[in-house]
Amino acid sequence: MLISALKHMAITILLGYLLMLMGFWWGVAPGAAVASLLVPMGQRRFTLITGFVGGLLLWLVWSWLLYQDGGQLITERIAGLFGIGSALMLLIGPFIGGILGAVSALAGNLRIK
Amino acid sequence: MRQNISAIVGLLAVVAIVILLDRPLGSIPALGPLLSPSEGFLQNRESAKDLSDQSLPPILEDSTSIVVFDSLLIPHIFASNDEDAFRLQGFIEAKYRIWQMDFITRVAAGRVSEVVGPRAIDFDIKQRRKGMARAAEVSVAKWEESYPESYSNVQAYVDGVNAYIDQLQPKDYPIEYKIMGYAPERWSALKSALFFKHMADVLCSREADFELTNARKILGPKIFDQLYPDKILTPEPVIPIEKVYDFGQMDQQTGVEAFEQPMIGLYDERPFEHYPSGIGSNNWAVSPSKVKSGHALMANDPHLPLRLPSIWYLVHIKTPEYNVFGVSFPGIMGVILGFNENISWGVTNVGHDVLDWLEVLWDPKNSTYTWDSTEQKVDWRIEEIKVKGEDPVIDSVAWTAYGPIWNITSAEGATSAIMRWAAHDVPERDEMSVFPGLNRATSLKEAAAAVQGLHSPAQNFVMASRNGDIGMRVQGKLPLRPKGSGRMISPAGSRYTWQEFIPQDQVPEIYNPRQAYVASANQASTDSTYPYYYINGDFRDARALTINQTLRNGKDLSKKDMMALQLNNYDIEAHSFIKTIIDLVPESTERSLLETWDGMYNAQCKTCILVEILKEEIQELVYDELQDGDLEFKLPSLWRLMELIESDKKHKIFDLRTTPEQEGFESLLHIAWEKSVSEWQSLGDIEWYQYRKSSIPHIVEAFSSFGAHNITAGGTGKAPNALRKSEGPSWRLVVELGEKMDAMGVYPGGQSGHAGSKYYDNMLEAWQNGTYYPLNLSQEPSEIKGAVFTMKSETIDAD
Repeated sequence: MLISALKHMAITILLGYLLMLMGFWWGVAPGAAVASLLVPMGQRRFTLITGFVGGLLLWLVWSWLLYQDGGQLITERIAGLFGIGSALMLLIGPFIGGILGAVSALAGNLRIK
Repeated sequence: MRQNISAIVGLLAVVAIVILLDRPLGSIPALGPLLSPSEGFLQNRESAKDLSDQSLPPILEDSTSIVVFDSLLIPHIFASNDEDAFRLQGFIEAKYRIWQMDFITRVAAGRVSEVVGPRAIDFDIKQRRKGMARAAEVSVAKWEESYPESYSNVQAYVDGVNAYIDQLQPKDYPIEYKIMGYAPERWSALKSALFFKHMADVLCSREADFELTNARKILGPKIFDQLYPDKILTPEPVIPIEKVYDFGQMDQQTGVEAFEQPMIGLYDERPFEHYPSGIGSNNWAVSPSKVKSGHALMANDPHLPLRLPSIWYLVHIKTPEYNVFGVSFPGIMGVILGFNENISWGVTNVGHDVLDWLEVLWDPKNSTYTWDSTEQKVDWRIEEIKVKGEDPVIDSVAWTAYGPIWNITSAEGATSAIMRWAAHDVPERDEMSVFPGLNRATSLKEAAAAVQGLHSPAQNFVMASRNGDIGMRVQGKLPLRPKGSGRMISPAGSRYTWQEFIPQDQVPEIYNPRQAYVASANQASTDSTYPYYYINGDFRDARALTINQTLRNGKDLSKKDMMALQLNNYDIEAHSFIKTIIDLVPESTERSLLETWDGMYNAQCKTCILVEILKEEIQELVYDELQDGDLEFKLPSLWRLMELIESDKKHKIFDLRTTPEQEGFESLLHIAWEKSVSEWQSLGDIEWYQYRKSSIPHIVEAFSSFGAHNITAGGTGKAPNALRKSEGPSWRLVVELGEKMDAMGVYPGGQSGHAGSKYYDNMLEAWQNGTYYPLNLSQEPSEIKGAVFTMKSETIDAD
């Protein structure tokens, strides 16, 4: 189970990353869907969790690396526009990535006979 | 089966979420792209790569050019020819400031609705009618036709800007584009011309025709003339009294007074709003005889609306022909204010009234208007205003030979008036050669020749040379006005507005005066011996008096003295006012505070606040008559009020309308005093800077976290350190013109226009503290210490 989860996430992350580099910010969606096609996760809740973590991890790690590479000032300023703190500002995106991953993983379970 | 249902639900959910997050929701920008690491705000960070060596744009003639970015991120451009220098300047200014360049020119062109939506439609309609866009088109056509060399320099700058824009990917758009949801547009000569017209708008579109017409109607001619005398003569004009004007003057006709024309009633609104007060500047130069080191000194601090990204951009350009350093306006090529190896120069706004409102009879259906009793045809200009998310709005503007027609309203009816503005005129000189000409000038003679291309906005150019020469020239296309014309709304006709201009060899100027210094601070250009009539702008002489007194009395002056004068917080007008009224003020602790007050508006001053409140309360009572109607009135000069208080305390103006008694000034003062003291006490123990509440907002004020708030510096509008709420010294330069040019400068912001950069506002602290950075006119890239990175051709690197 764990191995499947890791494989699922890896596909989500890899495909998602490539698509995002190509200009599709929603890249984890097709990524997680394809991951489900290739690595079925069985029960719905496992699909959702795995998809969520895959999407979340990609956005989170990527954002974190960018933040460390001179991203503090811009995060602070943008967070100020939204009236929130930097930490929250950095987390909203990954949360969205997670949601995208979760529902897309579910969509990828579509089996049409 | 169940699996399929949940899968379909998942599919729908994905599509819904992506669609939802992919577009703006009301005023919230599209969150998906904005928050994604691949193209969102984190891509607007200042990465290590951004501060590492980079390659030159591929559009240069000579790829051996080099640009070194120093520790303030000032680019030092070493190019082998003019056009490459301008290409590089364009590329670099785009790199750091493209959004600001784009947005400011959109504002001038009346194209804000395109990106902001329908709430900007009224604004755009007014901007189009004001005519900056049309004037810019006229300018560019003239440049192309008559000034090919300048035009190709402009094109080089444009090519540089576009070389940057063309390689921009959406993830690299400046953050403002991402928040507002649009993309950068290519630059053009038209946009450079638009920027120029924007500065004309900021600097020379000011008049008070509506306000003064109303005041005259309310007060009657006698009292009006007492409160608003036509000429505000200052003992310290820009061109000093010692100057003799010995040219045969041209005839000036006498205008007929405006009130002959039937007025519809009190005007209740202006066609467009004024820029805030506080736009002006200081400049001065000192001859070697007054300077300890025996060198000339020069100083300049222009006062403009303070915003982030900063309006100015520091740049150093060296070619085989010249070596120049100073501030530029992103959008226009060349250094606008600064110094080269031989001279330095600076500007203050001339502020002559060059905008007249002329009530006109016209027939829209037949497209005719009446001028000098003859019928003439209007020229219709169709303005198509694109609106984000909606259909475009079409507005038709009727242009006469003298300017566009506006509708004017009052409580009693509507009329039409021509807006006649000198900035609409076709350029008769090569205005784009002015700053490049100054950049390469080696003497005051060459500098004075170069500036003659500037017609609008007129500027007082101060100039100084390493050989000790100093000079001041009131440069512009100055209207030769009929005497008495232009202060109020007038009938449309030649008698009421200018027909010709003061010849360029008769504009006020002086070189190496006996007084051994020159100084301007937007005061009257000349004394009464100058033969031509003009209306000076909004500025009284407070700053000019302080600066003149300091320089007149000064000897053995140094650079430090120049900086101290720029930072001088003394308001001679407020101080004089307090001295005028102090004996009438009731004995009290507050009165003692005023008696011992030194007139300085330092940051920690508390008494200043009482002074400001008192000034306001007194004037509100004195001028209660003028509070009729919806249009805000223009205050008479405080100097005039002081004169009246001293000469006639029982003047009719000191009578409150609402009471049967005749108050006189003393009674008014007592009422104002009570009110002011109690208001001051209710504020608590605050200091001047807390009352003044200055800030430097982002150009889009709503982006408040991108602005700088709680400015703690001292200063006030009538002191040399003229900091107001959000207007003030946008740049400070002091130069000692010795063997080597010794220059110091600072501005309240930073070189990068990117809010994610540490260079966005890193000079603000120094500016607040009154410190300056050295500006070294280096000859070689290697001379630049502490460089952050270099921009050069890759082939040079490959060793």
